Amino acid sequence: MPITKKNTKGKSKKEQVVIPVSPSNRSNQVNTLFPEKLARMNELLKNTEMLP
Amino acid sequence: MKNAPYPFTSIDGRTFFFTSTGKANITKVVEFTPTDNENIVNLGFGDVMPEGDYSDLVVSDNGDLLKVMTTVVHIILYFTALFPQSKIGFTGSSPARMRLYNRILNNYYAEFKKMFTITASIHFDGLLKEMAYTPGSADKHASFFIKKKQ
Repeated sequence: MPITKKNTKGKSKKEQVVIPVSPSNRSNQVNTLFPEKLARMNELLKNTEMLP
Repeated sequence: MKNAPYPFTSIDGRTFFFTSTGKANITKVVEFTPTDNENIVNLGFGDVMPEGDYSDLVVSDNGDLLKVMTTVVHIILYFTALFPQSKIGFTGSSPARMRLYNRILNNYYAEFKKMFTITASIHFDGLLKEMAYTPGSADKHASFFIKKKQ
């Protein structure tokens, strides 16, 4: 997973570390009791033209 | 749905448990889980098996289907009160389960539409499109979505 270090010079002496979470990785990080159902929903969402 | 629901509990606001007391006592679980679409949470629903694992495939036939479904609707109401921006997606684990969900949405549509915007992922011209749920239609549904009206 990429780690981006944001330069905050002038705002704070502390260095901020931002760890972006890709949407495609979200389900991998989610604990669920029904992993197959979640995988199926993600597959449906990927293939469904959603309303705005 | 005029039936009183079963009492339910949750320790984290996204996983709920209740006991179906029909022919036997069966612990049911309803779980809301983030999906890859940040606006949508997946609704999982199933039984806690005697071994302690979970199944959304089992047909318990416990003689209290309406009360169980009433409880699930109350849990959805509770969850959407906590997270009103959440859009909840759900799909059946079998064609029979999809028909059951469609039948419930169809039968209680007049009541549900007062509280929720109801849409479905529908097979249309070889594609899947989210469209408004139409009760009584012959649409081929792949999943359903509900969102609390603001």
